[in-house]
Amino acid sequence: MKLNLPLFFHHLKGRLRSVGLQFALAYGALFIGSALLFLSFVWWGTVGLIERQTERSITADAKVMLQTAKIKGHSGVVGLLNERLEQDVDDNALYLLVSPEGQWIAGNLLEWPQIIRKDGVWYSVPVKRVDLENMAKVKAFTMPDGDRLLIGRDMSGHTLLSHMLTEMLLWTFLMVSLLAIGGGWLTRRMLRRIIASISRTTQAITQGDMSRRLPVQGRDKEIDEVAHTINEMLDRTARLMDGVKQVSNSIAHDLRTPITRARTQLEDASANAETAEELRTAIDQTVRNLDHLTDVCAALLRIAQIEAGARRSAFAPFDFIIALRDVIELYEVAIEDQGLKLVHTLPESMPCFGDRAMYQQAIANLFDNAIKFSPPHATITITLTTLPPRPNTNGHATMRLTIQDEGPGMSQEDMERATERFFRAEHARHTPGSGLGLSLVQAIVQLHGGTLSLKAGNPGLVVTIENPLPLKSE
Amino acid sequence: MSAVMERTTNATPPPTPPLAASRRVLPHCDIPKKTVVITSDSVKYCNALIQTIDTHQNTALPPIIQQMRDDGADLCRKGMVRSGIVRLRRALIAVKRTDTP
Repeated sequence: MKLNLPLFFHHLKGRLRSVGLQFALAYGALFIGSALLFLSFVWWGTVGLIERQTERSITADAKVMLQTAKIKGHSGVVGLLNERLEQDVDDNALYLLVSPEGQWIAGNLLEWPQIIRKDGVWYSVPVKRVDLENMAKVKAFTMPDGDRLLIGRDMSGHTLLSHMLTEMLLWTFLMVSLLAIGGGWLTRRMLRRIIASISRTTQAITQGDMSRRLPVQGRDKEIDEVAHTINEMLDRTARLMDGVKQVSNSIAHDLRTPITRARTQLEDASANAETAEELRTAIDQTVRNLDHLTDVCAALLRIAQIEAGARRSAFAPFDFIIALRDVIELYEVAIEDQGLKLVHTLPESMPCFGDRAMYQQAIANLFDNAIKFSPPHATITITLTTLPPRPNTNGHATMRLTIQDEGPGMSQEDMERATERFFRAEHARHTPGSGLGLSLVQAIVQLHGGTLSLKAGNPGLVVTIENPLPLKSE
Repeated sequence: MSAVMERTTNATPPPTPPLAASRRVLPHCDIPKKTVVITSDSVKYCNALIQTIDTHQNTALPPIIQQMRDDGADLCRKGMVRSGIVRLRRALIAVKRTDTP
């Protein structure tokens, strides 16, 4: 069978694009690399050490021989050489002294090895002992009188150790390689399993099943974190899609009524107006209705902008107390006109980070609601406190703003839907408004990373905004 | 050659010098690695060491050294030349130490 090389490389390239395979290869390479590094260190620390010690010993030996030659001359070197051989209890010393013509003078080698020509170079020479053949490490030196000296060590012990270690390291390397391949395979399998799970879920979602979520198995923290994050993203997407659906329905429903009314008014005026004055009155009324529609559209756009996070660039540090006092000042007249009482408990200052104008808009909306639904002589209470950092706030303190009125309040069911666009509680159907106020407040608070909650005040309604405060160092 | 083989008093016996016929000069050309024979692994060297030990001290050897010397000689006789030589070398070192005042 003929191998088609271009096709093979094309397939290989395609396979290497797989993240799983890349992970497996990276794991294997890292594992084998670490093992190689470790084994090299073992080699360097054992065989290498013996070799270096042998070299050091030969070098020291040569130094003494050369010094002896200078001081005692030729006979001194011969005597020292023989003495060294005599004291060689390790039985590994090799010496050979020859004349410049190559004549044997002293030592325990029969002849000058043929491969040794240069001084100061390490050679490995095969030597024959009475019982076996070994390798010896030798170095040649020229003495001051022209004689040539060969000093070496029989490396049989070293060779044995070297063979033993080589065999051991080769086996270790083989086992490490098998472990690396196995580990790489497991890594790839694990990754493929996770990716397959994500892929299955996302495919189901692509086909319209927004209820599917990634399994959180509790076995792997990182994978579970990814699954959590994706699930949260899906939850948010589902919420947004629901919101879009609901908004579309609400827009269709809530805008149709004023448009129909305006059309009817114009039609009626066209058919029945007898004077120009009547006609103008009808047109003015229609314009007012259409202005209301424009306001509703503007509010919707504003909410959409806030929810998209487009306004985050306008964030800056500001004092929340000053912003709040400005709004209170603005509403004091309206509160007095309604015969209401405003009670507030505020600290002197509260450094905050966000869009000041937006926050003021949110507070104004809440004031509007509180004033609108409060009976005469009722009290509106504003409380602002700082909560200490909690485990889930990453060291941030929290600002808590509470606005409580003494109005009719809301049922639990209404409170759950109060922040939906165009939602209006049953008792509020006949009061002016578009049902977008709390949606806007919710969007603003969420943009600042906070939460909006409603609860029954008995009487009235308690609206609470909690928002993280910047760290003191920020 | 006698000048070359000149030795100091009580010096180590040199390994047996090779025969004149086998003495080599430095090589001139590239020749593959050839095994070099170690001459100190021989019964002759064994005997030379024994002789040196025996002649080293005029008085009787201490018993431990004498034991080492005899063991070395015995090993050499039995063909375990390298072990015998090592034992004799130890004995010779010990003799030299006893010599040192």
